[in-house]
Amino acid sequence: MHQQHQKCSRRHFLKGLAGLSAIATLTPVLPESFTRSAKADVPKRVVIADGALAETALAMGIVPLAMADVPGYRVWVQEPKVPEQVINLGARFQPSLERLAQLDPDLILTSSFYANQYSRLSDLAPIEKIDIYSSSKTPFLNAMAAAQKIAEVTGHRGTAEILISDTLSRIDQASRELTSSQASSVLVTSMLSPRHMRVYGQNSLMQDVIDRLPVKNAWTGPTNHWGFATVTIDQIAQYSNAALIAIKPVPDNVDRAIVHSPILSELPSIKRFGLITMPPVATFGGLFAAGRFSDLLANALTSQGAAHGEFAS
Amino acid sequence: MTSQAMRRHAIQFHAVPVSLCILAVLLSLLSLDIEAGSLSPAAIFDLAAGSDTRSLLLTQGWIPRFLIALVAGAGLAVAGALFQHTLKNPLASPSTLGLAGGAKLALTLVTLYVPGALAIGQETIALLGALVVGFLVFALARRSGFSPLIVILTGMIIALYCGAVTTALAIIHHEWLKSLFIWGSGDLTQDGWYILEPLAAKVCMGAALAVALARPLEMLNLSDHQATVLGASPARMRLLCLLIGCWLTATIVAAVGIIGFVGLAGPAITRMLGFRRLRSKLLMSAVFGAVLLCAADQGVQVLSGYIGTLVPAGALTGILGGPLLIIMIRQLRSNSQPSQNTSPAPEPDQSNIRNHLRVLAGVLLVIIGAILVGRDIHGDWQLQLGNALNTVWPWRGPRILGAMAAGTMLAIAGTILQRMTANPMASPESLGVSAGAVIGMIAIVFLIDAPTAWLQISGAAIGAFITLGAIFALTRKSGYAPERILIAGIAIGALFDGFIAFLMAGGDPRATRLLAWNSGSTYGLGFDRASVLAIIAVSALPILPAFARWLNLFPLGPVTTKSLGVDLSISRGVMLMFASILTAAATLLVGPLSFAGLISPHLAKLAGLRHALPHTVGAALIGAALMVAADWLGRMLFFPWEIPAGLMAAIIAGPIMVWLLMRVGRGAS
Repeated sequence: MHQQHQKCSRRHFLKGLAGLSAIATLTPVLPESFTRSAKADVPKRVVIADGALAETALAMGIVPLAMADVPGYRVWVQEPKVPEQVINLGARFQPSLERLAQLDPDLILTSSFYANQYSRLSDLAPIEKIDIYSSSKTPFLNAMAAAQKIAEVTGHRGTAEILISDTLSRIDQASRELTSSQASSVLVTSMLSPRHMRVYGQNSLMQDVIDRLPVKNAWTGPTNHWGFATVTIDQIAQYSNAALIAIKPVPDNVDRAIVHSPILSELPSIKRFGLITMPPVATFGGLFAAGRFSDLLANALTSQGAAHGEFAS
Repeated sequence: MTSQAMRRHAIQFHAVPVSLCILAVLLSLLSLDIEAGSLSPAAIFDLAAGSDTRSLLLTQGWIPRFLIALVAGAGLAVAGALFQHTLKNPLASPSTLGLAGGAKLALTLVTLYVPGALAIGQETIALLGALVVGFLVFALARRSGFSPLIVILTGMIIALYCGAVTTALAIIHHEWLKSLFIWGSGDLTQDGWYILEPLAAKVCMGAALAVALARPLEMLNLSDHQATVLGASPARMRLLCLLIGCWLTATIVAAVGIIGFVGLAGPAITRMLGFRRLRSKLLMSAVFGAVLLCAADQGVQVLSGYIGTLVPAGALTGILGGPLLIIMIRQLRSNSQPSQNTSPAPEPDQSNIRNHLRVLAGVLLVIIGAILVGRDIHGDWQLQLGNALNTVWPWRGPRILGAMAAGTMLAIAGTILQRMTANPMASPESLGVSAGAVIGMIAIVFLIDAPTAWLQISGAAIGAFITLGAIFALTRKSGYAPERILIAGIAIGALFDGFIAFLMAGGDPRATRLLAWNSGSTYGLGFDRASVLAIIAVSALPILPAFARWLNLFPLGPVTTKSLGVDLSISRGVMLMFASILTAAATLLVGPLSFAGLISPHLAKLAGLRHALPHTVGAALIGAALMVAADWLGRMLFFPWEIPAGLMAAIIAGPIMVWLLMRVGRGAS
């Protein structure tokens, strides 16, 4: 192949390239018209780029035209289910702009964290920025406000109130169940390796939910903007009374380590409760995730399996 | 040199290792005090004998962690010393040869695509990755006679390539790779002795083998000819030496993750102390490597307590490694000039117009194709004309324009650097300006809650120019000697990598976005910014003829160039500034695009463009086409997922580059 390259005349080659680049540089001027269908009062073609907002909308029965990272949502969030017809936009921090343009949405819902990344989106459709994780207020209150905002801008008034009261009653229900819990405090983690985990605390949705339940979050240490800290096993070892809860999926080597690792297998909390695993729940989720988390937590701490260290999902 | 001056010199050289040892002891005591609550031996023994959680944390946590730092540090330093000895290169080490990157890529691929294979052991997979990279680097470098700079640059570029692929995977499968990021950052936390024991046995075996072979290996200090006369087989020796080094590296990487630069620093300190014989060099390197990693890890333990987030030892040594490389540049004798093996290929046959048309058609196809071919709403391939094109054009057009401009600028910068340094491996990425720009942007992203694009760009501009200033300051004394500039660039890149490893390990969601940006994303580019970029690119072209004479002379080597009446300092300074501005401009708008600046000059040369001016212009056009193709592939291949253009360019260009390097090497030998 390179032999062929060598045989071309340099001048012709250059001329060709120059001509091409000239054509390509001029083309921006050609098709510039940008039509959009007339907007109805109630937006019908809603796209959602943020995971927590998508989850909240789906929980209220608002099915978006498209949302970001559908496959990831199906694995890491699971509930509420995404209907088959929802179109995938790609990565949350870089939704495919060409696909967005083709979809011709009349409303884009996203958080300011993502929105500032693509300010030009406003050329496409009005953007509604809704923040659940921000420096003002706590996620739970923000999540309630977010649900109301989503219902309002999509013209589904009333659905937010249903979701809110449903969530609060789920938390109440969990609260009643948890009075019979053996563990009075918990450590909610995502296990990364036998020695490393994310532990959720202040600023997290989990913290807000636990605050409404008759159990305590043992982790009072510092957390980041999203409400978790990446810690090592020795940092959580001192919380001997807290039940260690791992949100699934849990890496394979952790299961092996529960048996083999001298520290992990000897931890008082593991000896007492085992490693309690919990089905996937959005760890940076919205209002629905709050209700789901309280359900799962109550199940995990009171179910028969908890005593044996395994909670079957 | 007077005896007094010599003594002062010796004291200076001893100061580093002595203070390092004191630091290690102090930090260890401090962290032991935090761990055990007291420093009295009786209390510690009592605690160790107990069976509660705190006792367990001491006997199964702190003690194995302390020891594994010593073992891993010693092993890496021995590997580094072996590489440095074999390659006669003071900058060789497991991290500068790209071995750790290879191991990480192999593990990433296996974790994602054949998780079942993890059962055969992380170590085996890491070893395979390291060996593949090792053989690739050595095969490529052997053709240049293991010239120190070529070895390091080849290693660095292979490391960049492995990093690019790992990053592409991380962008799509971020959640799946969380655990891998933790491993990759090199955190030494232990939960028992089950990692330490096999590692210690293997490292001892490797080190013992190296020490036992020290005498015959000493032969490698002689020239190959002398060694052969003495009855040794230098080629076999060298291979053995490198194999032991690779094996040590892979074992340690698989067990504790990526710990940069200990393998570089251990032998460097030993050299400062003036040890000459290989056996003592190996032993002392092991000692200093162990002390160094121990100090870093104990420091990290104390630090983590205050910061409240995970600070992996590997990220810290990575960050410290940058400045270390910069110090070592100053010691590197400037006569380690790369061998000038950019021998011209045979003059092209100019008669075949059909082939010429084929290339032309190819490039035409790239640009027209990038404009017209896309995916429809269901993700099916579609030729987009009229309305379909109108819909996507405001999002597609600027990216094509931006990619062309960025490719042009990087290719011009690359051609200038390659001609100026007479080094086929020079590229804008190795200037370090890209990394500097990225560091500036990171600062903005982390200081401001939700920064706008323009704020981020300002941060990047400031970062780029500070880096540029630093590189000028560091290399001014040597008259901007090319190899020093390149290594300064690598050093800044290393600093940046350490920082990213730290962020990824902490699991900060902002890190993914940085990864995407850092891999050269044209995402969200508008015609406003794309046009600015295009204007800079086009305005660079008329300046090129001014450099033509210098660029024609520089490949002949500095001595010839100087004797022909060119002021080396001025000409180098001016061209460097020019290349840096172009690199910074491209980086600011579309991220530090890897490899476009490296490969385009080679492709232009392949197309038969030899003289400076046509070579540069040809490279610029090829660079533009390459970036457009990469941007298109990145957008369309996994639609609606996007692979950043820079990353895609790197992935396309990598294999071409390996082929080119082998070709260049063959031409020279």
